Formats: sequence, C-alpha cells, structure tokens
Amino acid sequence: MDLQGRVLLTLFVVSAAVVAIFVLIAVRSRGPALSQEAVQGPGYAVRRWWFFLLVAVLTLAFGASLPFYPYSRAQAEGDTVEFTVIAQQFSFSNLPQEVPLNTPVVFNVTSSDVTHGFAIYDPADRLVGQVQAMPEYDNQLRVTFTERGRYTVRCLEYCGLAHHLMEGGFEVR
Amino acid sequence: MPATTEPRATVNALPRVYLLLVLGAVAVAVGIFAIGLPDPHLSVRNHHIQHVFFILGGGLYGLALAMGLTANKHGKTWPGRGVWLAPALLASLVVMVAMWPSTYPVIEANPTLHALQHGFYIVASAVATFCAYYFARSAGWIMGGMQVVMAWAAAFGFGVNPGPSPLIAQVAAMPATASAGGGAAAYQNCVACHMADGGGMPGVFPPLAGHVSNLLAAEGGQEYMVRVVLYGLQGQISAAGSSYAGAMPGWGHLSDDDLAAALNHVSSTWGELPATASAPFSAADVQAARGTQLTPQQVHELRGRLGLP
Amino acid sequence: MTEQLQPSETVATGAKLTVEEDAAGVAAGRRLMNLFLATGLALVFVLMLVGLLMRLSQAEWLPLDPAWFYSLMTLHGAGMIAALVLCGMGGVWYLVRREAHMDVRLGYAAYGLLLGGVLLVLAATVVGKFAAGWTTLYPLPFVNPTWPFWSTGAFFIGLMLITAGFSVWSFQVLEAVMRAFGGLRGALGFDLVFNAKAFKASGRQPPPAQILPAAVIAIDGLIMATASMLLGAAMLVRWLDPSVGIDPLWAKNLGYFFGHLLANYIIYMLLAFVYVGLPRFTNRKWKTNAPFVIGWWGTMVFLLTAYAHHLYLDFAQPVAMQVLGHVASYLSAIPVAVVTVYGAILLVWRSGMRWTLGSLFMYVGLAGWILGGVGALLDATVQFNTLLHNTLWVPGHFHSYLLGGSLYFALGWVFQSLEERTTATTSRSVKWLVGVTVFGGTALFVAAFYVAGAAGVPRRFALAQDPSASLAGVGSVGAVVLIAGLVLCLVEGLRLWRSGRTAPVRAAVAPLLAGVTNVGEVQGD
Repeated sequence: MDLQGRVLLTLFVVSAAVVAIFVLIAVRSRGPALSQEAVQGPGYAVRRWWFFLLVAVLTLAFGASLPFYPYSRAQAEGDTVEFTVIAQQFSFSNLPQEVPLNTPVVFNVTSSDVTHGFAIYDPADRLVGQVQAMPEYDNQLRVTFTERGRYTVRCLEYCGLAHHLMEGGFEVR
Repeated sequence: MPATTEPRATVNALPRVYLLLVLGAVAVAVGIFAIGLPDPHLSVRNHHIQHVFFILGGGLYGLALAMGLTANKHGKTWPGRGVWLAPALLASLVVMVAMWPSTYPVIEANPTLHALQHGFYIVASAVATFCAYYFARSAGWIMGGMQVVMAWAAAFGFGVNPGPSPLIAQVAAMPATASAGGGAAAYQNCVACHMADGGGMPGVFPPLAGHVSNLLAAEGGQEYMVRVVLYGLQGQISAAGSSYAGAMPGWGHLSDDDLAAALNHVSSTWGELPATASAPFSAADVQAARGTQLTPQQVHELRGRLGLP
Repeated sequence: MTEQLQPSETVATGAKLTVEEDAAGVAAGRRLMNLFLATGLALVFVLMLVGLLMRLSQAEWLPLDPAWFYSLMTLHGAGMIAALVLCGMGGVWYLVRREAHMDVRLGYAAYGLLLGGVLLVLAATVVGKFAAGWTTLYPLPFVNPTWPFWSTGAFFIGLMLITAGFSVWSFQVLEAVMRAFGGLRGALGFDLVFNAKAFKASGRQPPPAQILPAAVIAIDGLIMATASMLLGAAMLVRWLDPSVGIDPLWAKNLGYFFGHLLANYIIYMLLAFVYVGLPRFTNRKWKTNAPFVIGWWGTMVFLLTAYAHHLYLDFAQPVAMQVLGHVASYLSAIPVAVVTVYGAILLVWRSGMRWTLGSLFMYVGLAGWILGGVGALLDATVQFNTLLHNTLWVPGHFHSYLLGGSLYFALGWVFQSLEERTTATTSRSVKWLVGVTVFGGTALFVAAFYVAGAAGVPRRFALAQDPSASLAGVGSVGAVVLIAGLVLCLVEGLRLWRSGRTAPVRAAVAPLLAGVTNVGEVQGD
C-alpha cells in the first residue's frame, strides 16, 4: 500500500476508535448517575495520563517526520539531473520528453503568471510528489523515479478556468 | 489596563500626556531625519520603514490628545460610544491605502507634496488612535499597535517584489529545440484550451478549427494572429457564432520557430487553408512582430481596428 | 432568584443599570444573537445547495460550465466562512452580554457590515462570475481575468467589510470582558494559575468558561484584522493601479494567516455554546480551572502560529516557519483533546444526561471535531503533506470541522433553546432518523473527500477522471442525505418552536432562561 493509503487507513482506524469511545461514553451516561465530585477524582487522574500519552505520541510523530523534510538544499551526488520547468496558464513549458530511471532528478519550477502547482503522477496515476510554482520564486522538487512508464504532470494550485485541464507529461526510461 | 469598579480617583493626567507628546515628537523626528534608518531614497522598502515612525508618532499624538481630553471626567463611562470605531478603522485603512507605493517616485520629486503626505500619515494615524480611545482606553493603544505593525509589515511586500525569476529568461534564451514533431509538437502548448481538435471550449475558449480560415482570409488577419500568440488577447470577441470574454496569455517566451510552427499547424491541420497554399507563417514574421510590445488589450484593439471576424 | 446577573461588578462605572434595565438589555442581546444565528444558518443552508451543485458537477451528473463552477466555488468558500462566522459572533456576543453591558447598536453595526460583505461577495461571484477562489491567491485575481473589473473590487471590498465587522465585534467583546472581569489579567484567568492560593482565599470567582473563548478570539481577531487590513489595502491599490508590485509570497502569508484564523475562529466561538449548554443537559458544571485557562492560552498562541502549515510546499519560506507551523499544528490538538473534549466527556460520563437533539448535536459535534482534527494532524505532518496538499483530503478535513463540528454546535444550541421553552419532546424515531441522515450523510460526504484525497484526486478541479467522478457521486449522495436530514431538523425545530409558544415552560428551566452563568455562584440549581 502506498503512503497515502497507509495515512487513510490510520485515519479510519483512529476514527473508528474515537467513535467507539464516544458511543461507549454515551451509552454509559444512561442508568444511575454519579455526582460530578465522584467522577472528578478519577477523571482528572485519567486526564493526566491522556495528556502525557498525547504529548508522547505527537512528539514521536514529529521527531519521526523531521528526517523526511523536503527542504534540504544540500547538493546531491554528482549525477543529479536537473530540469527547469515554467508553469503558466494553462500548460507547463520546457518539460523534458524523457527522464532517466533510478537517478536523482531535480525539477526547478517557477511560473510566469500566477501561482500554479507542479504535481507528478506515476503511470498508475498515483501522486508521487509536488511543489508549488510561484511567480518570482523558484521551488525545487527532488525525486528519484524507480518505475518506467508515462508520468503525468498536473497543476494542483487553482489557477483559472482551465486549471483542471492543465497537464503535461514525460517518459521515464 | 485593568478596569476598576470604583470611580477612578482624580489623577493629574498631564505628565503622561506630555510624555506621549514628547515620545511622539521623537518618533516623527526619527522618521523625518531617518535616524538610524536605512536611506528611504534607496528603495520602496526603506520608504515604508521610514513611514512606520510617522505612524507611531501620529498614533502617540492621538492617544495624548484623547487622554488629555478625557482625564478627570467624573461620571464618564466606558465604553464610550461605539460609533467612534468607524472613523478609527477607516482612518487606519486610509493610511495604508495612501501609501500607494507607485506614487513614491512622483512624490520624491516634489518636496511639498512629500511633506504633505507624511503630514497626512501623522494626522490620520492620530485620528485612528484618538477615535479608538474614545471607544475604550485600551482600544486606543491596540489601534496604535495595529497601525505600527501594519506599516512595518508593508515593507515586506507592498510595492516590493523580487521580480521575475531568472529561470524564465534562462528558458527563453535556450536555443530553439528542433521541433521534432514540427507544428504538432509546438501546438501541444495550446491544447489545454483550444483542444487537440481545435474545437476550443464553448463559451470559454474559442475554437480554431473553422475560425482561423476567417482570420486568414481577412486583411491583416495573419499579422493579428502573430501578435495574439506573442502577446495574448483580452477582451470580448465573437468566434463561430459564440461570444468569448476570456483572456489568453501571451506565449512570447517560446521561440520564433515554435510559434511559427504552431501557427502553421492551426492553419493547415483542419483545412483552414486551400490545399495548394503552403505554410503562411515564418519565424521571421514572429521575430519582426516582437519589435513592438503590445498588451493583450492592445491586441484586442487591433482586432477591432482591422474589423476581423 | 432570576437576578443572578452579577450586579455592580459587571457594569461600567457611573452607569449602573438596575437589574430590570439590564434584563431588558440581555433580552435585546438574545434577539441580536437570534438574528445572527438565523441569518448565518439560512446562508449555510443555501450555500450547502451550492456545494451540492459543485459535487454533482464533479460527479458528472450535472456538469457545470467551468466559469460557473469556479465562481460558485469562490462563493461557497467565502460565503460559508462568513455564514458560520455570523453564527459564532452572535453566540459569543450574547453570552458576553449576560456578564456585562454592551451597546446592542454596535452589535447590529457588526451584523450590518458582515451582511454587506456577504452581499458584495454574492454580487461579485454570481453576477460578475468572479472566480479567483475565496483565497484570492495573488496574483490570480488580476492576471488574465475572465471576469469584469468591478467584480474583483467588489469581492475584495466584500471580504474587507466582513473583516471590519469582525473587528468591531472583537473590539466590543474584548472591552466588555476586560471591564467585567478585571482587565486582560482577569479575563484570561491569570491569577488562577500564578496566584492560585491568594485567588482562592480572596473568594473571587474565575470567569465563566465561555469568557475564555470570547477573550482569546477577540484578541486574536484583532491580530488577524491587522494582517487582513494590510492585505486588503494592498489588493485595493493593486486593483486600481496595476503598476504596484506585490510580493506573491508575502501576499500568500498574509492571506493564509487571515483565512486560517477566520476559519478556526468559527469552531472556537461556537464552542462557547457547548461550554454553556452541555452542563445544562448533564446537571454538572464546567469548571474554569488552571488547566482550562492554560489550554486557552495555548490555543491563543497556536492558532496564530499554525497558519504556516498552508505554505509547506512553498520552499522559499524560511524552514523555521515550516517547523513552527508543524509544531504549532500538533500542539493545537492538545487543548482541544485534553481540556475541551475530555472535559466534555467528564460532564457526560455517568451523568444520566438527557439525550435530545440539542445534546446529541453538541456531543456528536465534539466527536466530529476530533475526527476532523485527526485528518488535520495527518495533513499537517510535512512528509504527508507533500502527498495530500491540494488534494481532496483538504476539503475532507475542513468539512469535518465546519460541518461535523461547528455547525453541529450551532444546531445543538438552537435545539436546546427550543427544547427549554416547551414541554414537548422529540420522539425517539425522529431522533434516530435525524441521527442517521445528518450524521450518516455527513460521514459519507466527508469520507468521499478523504478517500479521493488519498487517491491523489486534486481539489478545485471542475472535472477529473475516475476515481474522482465516482467518489464525487458518493459524496453527492451523502450531501443529499445530509440535506434531507437538515430539512427534517427544520421541521422538528419549527414544531418545537410552535409548541413552546403555547405550552407552559418547565419550572426547572425558568432560572436558566434568566441568563444565569453556570459556574460557582449557582447554588442549589
């Protein structure tokens, strides 16, 4: 399963758990009631645990995600291939026809009119990477393609009436 | 500023009023003489930074005046009338709009106008804090702070921008890639809107098939088409019986060869030209048309003058 | 017994109102709230139909011309935000009015400004076909526009009127809470945390729970207004003078600061309804204690800093901002999950509470908020964002919040108010039917977005190939079911309202109608 699939699964699993908890609590609200004082003591104790659990989960998640930040501008190994692409309403200029397989590739992207998006979809139409294409600024998308075939480039930042038609492509060989 | 429940004791507000006036004067002086500030003549950004101090000074003046007029007023209740918020908000907005960065070169050339403009910032910011104070004491200080933050933040992008990315010039300067597919490859730039079959999108993007022939047959139509692809087109047109009020971007960043190839492609692919005619557009035509830059609106005017269908 | 309004402490010096005068004022505030709520909810309903049109178009069941699709999309975004902001502003205004005198005319002025803004937005998009998206990402509104010149200005002025109205509200609410509770220090519960023993010994009461959202949002609201007034001025000038250069990254930062904050304020304002309303169902009190107050201080800061998560894929942003956005987004979950939602759970647990439409909506709204939050946290993780940014995941998560959270809170309050005025009750079958249609419809509608987003389907696409169209179909079905459920709610609400005008009011409910606050001073409730 690709990464987005796993993220979606995480969302559904956690959602199911949350719904279950809420249903349980709602069901337990019927029947003989306890006073607020009786509930508070144990309730606040549980809250302390909940607080620490949540902080721990979030800290771990943050720490685990830091190494995957896409912002390092460290120069890659010598055989990085660079392409420059200009986005404009409603197409991508200077897209390469062919991109090498299993090679670090850098797309330098900007726009000549409005902000566009530069999003690459693999031959199975799965999103593999994206970056913004903002006028007057350059953004770099670093990616290594491990699969041969026809890749599609789409604009993902709303840019006008033909936004959904703005498409390009290249072959990875 | 904690509100109390007992009536405020009589305080002599004058010392604080004088202090605010002095601080305001210091701020304005810093602004006028750009003390410790980057030279305002050098850039719009520096100009904005200079203005921060006029707005700070004016804000302090407004607070001083309001404080002086409302101190020791027994029975004066807060909040004051809410209607004071209107001029407060409006005045601070007007200050920002009045910055109008494209006017700076004109104003710099005219010292009287320049002084008037700076005076305007001071007065308008004073009005803003004064009026806000008349709604509530704390509101006056908040408004003063809001104005200063806005003026400072303006330096980072209002009338200040980096300019087109060098990548664009880089790509434009590339030697014209051999159009291996010829016109068809060059036409790929156009399919997003005009479609692969040249049919366009009804009501949104005009068709080329069936329409280009009318342009080619008309006097000046060819020259017009070259300028459309170079500079774009904006304004109401009608094509194939429908009306279009859209806008087409210019494609001047493509090479002369590519543009000519695309124009020839649209002229020949859907039978727009008689079979005997050959490619009517050449790279030289495109090159020649680059001599006079036009805006998309001017291209539209050209269309009107030529009376094109 | 009805005069539990805090008398002299809450009223401005030298203008002490008698309790009778203030009761009339509080009633006037209630009428103002009802106006805000009625207008907001009516707008929400109409814009839901616009949203349905969008989904139907994407499902290819009712394909719209792109010019219409994108201008309706622009209307839907700006309009929904304004409509829900109206609901929240009205609620908080009334709840603060119960604690301190506020001039109702200023409340009406804020209302008028918001309404004016909405009308301009409507005109720009429906008549002018302005279609730059409600986020108007610079320079899109100005480059090759396919809409007339006037509509660009109308839209921006409309947004600025909405901001102006919100600023007026913020100034008024902030002034009132500061006056009623002892300045910022009192309104934000500073002494509860730093002078706890002395505070307790003094016998003073902390501010009621609903004052914290009022104070925090008013403060942050003015900070938001600072940014949006500046951006608005720049856009106006650019609209009139194309030679003025604007930095697109600067404009994006300011624009998303404004948009992120305003959208978030919606749920935090409507939360005040839950703070006041849920205790009444459970016969327990919502305590303003140190953790509660600290949670709100956190929210006050995290709201402002988390906006940077909208710019993760603008690599020109300083990396420090990206990290700040990530950290703040994660941290903002903590007050919600640990203080607010957990606090609500403590209220409900073994409480023997009454389950009516009012309590159901408030309770499920809290769950909806958590669920939307999970989607948000996942998207706010930079690594995942590279794959979810600008896909339908984004509308998935914000519809969870706004629809499954904020709107439910507002509906919960409306139903609670209606229920407390009548002896009539909602039948079990109607409750189940509402639950299945509204909650089930929402779940289906939102799930369609999330699944499509995970599949890489882009957002803001008038048309796309499958799986987009099929998922849009599922979403449309969910929306239709939801809308049907809301119509049922309207019918049931009207029935309760009509019976309340004739049936006697439950005696136990009477003190609650007099505007009693729910913490501390209520004895023998």
